[in-house]
Amino acid sequence: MSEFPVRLICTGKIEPGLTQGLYHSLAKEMTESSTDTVIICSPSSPYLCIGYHQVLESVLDLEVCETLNLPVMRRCIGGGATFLDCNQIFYQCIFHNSRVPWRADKVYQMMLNAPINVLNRIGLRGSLRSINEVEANSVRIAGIGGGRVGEAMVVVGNLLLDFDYSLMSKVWHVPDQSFRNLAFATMEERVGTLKKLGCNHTLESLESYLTEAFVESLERPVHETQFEIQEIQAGRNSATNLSSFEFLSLHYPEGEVKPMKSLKISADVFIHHIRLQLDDRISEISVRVDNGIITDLQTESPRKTNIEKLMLDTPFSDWS
Amino acid sequence: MSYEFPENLFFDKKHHVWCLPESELLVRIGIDPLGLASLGDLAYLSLNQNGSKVSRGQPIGMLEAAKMTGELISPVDGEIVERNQHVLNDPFQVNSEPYGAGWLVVLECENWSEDSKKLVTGRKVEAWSKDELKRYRDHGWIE
Repeated sequence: MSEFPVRLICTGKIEPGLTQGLYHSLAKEMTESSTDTVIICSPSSPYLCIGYHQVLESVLDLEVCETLNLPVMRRCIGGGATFLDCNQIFYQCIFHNSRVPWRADKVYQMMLNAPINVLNRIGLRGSLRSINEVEANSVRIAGIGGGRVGEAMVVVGNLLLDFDYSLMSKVWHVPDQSFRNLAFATMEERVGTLKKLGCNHTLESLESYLTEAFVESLERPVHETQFEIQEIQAGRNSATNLSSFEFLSLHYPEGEVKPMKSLKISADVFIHHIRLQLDDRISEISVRVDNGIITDLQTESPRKTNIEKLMLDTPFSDWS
Repeated sequence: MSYEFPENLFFDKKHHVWCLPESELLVRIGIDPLGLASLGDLAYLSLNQNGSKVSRGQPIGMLEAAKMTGELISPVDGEIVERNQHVLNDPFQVNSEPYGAGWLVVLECENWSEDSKKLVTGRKVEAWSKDELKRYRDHGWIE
């Protein structure tokens, strides 16, 4: 067991900005002499968060976000747009890169043991799939991301107690309604919540289980503590940057911003939008792709039956 | 994957970034195969704008693979004068040709003669790269 201690900080519900700002500021300030930290927290109100390389207007319908009063932040690690609220508990691991494995898969194993053990403890079959996808009873139950920020290695994830599928699907900037419908139905099927799986645990009980699980799984001395006032201020400053117009506008392309054409729902399950020319007519088609194979599709085309015969059970790569 | 380290390049030992001086002022920058190995195939890549000032040890861009993101750290002080549009459009080119078409930026260096002393080049490259490859293999990081 390494002697380097780890701080574990349970904040309970905190302002949404801090749920992103705290781990970003800790990571950016980290040096080899800093203490590794695990934060367990939950946002007091809902918000949206996009991945570092996403084009804001391409993935989110900003008018809908404004109508629903949902603030948006951009994180410094990758992945897709996520809807986050108080029905989710976050775990955020900020470790110096010299004290984590070099390989990404090993980093995720190290950091995700704890949430998987929690799922097993509450009677579900917790497992790790495709390097960093946490599943319970074979459905996705969490969103996980990781990256190197400054000298830190950061892994962030959550557990979904409940999830507003309808709201998530409303804020997507999609090519057409068929894409939204197919993505919504696929998300309901492939993304689970503890509530849907019959586990009615509270945030407090999960916080306690996660704390115990991190203490057991990290094989390092773990000290439960609280943030210093200066750290909270640094987190707020960081949150301001992450939600600034300048940072949200990163990667803005030249010309018209088009809606997303692909959406990852879970490991190996995607929704894609394609235009297909059949007998001199262009059809707009949204397809569900499981492990590279088209398993479902939706289209407004009057030739839907023909399109289904042509495309279903074929490799998506034949059409893209 | 082939792990070659040409002796005409200058390598940042810590971040596995390479430099190729093209004139007294201009240096082409890329990432070496060991730097890429920890991330895997790149899905997205962003580079700071032309004209932006960069400092040695500070990020000049962001690399995103399927499972992990990482910063691209500048090995020298200077200013970005050119970005490789081809890799911005197709980041996988960085994986397929890290020393060729997969270059990332050209920097106008403030003090190349001093900065280059902190990099490995020439006959020292072979010994350094052998040690690095051994270290990576001993840890099971690469095959």
